[in-house]
Amino acid sequence: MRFADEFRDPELAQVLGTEIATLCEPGRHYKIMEVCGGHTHTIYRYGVQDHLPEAIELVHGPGCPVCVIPMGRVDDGIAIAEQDGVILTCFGDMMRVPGGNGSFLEANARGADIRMVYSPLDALRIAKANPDRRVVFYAIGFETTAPSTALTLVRAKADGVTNFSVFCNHVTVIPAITAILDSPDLQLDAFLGPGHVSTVIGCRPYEFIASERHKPLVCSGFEPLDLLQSIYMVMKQFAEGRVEVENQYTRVVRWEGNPMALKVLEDVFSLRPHFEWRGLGSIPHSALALSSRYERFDAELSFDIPGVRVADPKACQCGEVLKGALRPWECGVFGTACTPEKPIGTCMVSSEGACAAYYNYGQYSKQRIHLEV
Amino acid sequence: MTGERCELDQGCITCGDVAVVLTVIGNEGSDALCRDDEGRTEHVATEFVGQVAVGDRLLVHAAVALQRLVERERVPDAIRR
Ligand code: SF4
Repeated sequence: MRFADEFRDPELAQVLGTEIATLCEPGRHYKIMEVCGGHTHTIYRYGVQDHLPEAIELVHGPGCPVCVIPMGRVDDGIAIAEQDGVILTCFGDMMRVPGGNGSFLEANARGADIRMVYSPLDALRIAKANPDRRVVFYAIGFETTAPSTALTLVRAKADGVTNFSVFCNHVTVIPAITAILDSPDLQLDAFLGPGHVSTVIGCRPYEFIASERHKPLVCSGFEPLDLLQSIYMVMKQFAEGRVEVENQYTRVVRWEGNPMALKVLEDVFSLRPHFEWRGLGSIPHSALALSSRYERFDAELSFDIPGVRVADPKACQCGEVLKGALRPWECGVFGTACTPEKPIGTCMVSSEGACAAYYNYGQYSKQRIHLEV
Repeated sequence: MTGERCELDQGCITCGDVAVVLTVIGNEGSDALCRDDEGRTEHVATEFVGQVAVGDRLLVHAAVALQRLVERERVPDAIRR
């Protein structure tokens, strides 16, 4: 038995679901946001909602790295890729994200050289193997992924690589949660914290959510039983009148995070004053740029880029989905004009995007949990 | 394993913020050779977790180890009662 199988046991899921139901106050409705797209994926894939009483509504958050990239930044990537001698590298899902000037896949069809990599370290390897080309890594992701970009830059600097740079779109999770807390559209009761981001940043940065904004937050793992246990912990807080930050994912997340990774992040990156998030608008101090110590690796400084803000297509309601104000199937183009094969919005691109997760698994979730385990 | 996890039809695990638990099977400078539960191997950068030994379990994202697992990976007894 693989270790994950134990965390997918449908009988234990049933037991937890029943215990959660006993904690619900009669007549009360609970809105719990799972911040991370990985959680959204698990919820739909394994039908986690089917084990919950109707009083508990799971609201999908903005934690899908691909989904929050605005169209203008996609166009910037294409503008870099179309310059002489450039190899642009990016993670797989980025290839299909639509910008104002098409997607990276479409840019390749026009003659650009954009390659998928699994890690920025692969991009650095490509740079070393192609000294006559300029290799750029299109960096996206939250604090889970930023350490791999940072480490790659540390190695590039140590190895004296001169034909490698990074176009940095890394974002940070706390300002996004704050923006959601400030949004008048949403009345949330609690959060499930992003487990892998928390591996790096720890639990401490969430403490204000409990102490100042009076919402419980439980850092959660990614298996169905992790999520159900986290929801149980949230509900137990309500039942006992507590409001705290708790850690369900103790097999991986330490309260203080990973200090070695945090130290390197601080050295390699600096906070941008503002960054445009798809759907959430411009959020102060919510994204990373390369620090002055690494500016010679900063593609934003060494390439001509348009840097223009491009409005989302009119039909696209990703912003509302990202804030949890609209559920995927409530978007007018869901499953018709917008599908994973031909996405209009970013939420339909990555399998962690709420629209793609619901499109792929949502309708079948009740049967799915039994088939998958 | 490089590239294998970024198939367009399956979605990219790095984009999905997915991290996988791998077991160290050998040391190679600042990298470790690791194996997943399916027997696939991968080179993993270990600068963020310090010295690793054969048998250590690491949480890995984009070929970089983010944390060393210390607890046994099993459903807590609290759920089983
Ligand atoms: S269906 Fe498409 S356009 Fe509508 S919210 Fe989802 S991804 Fe965006």
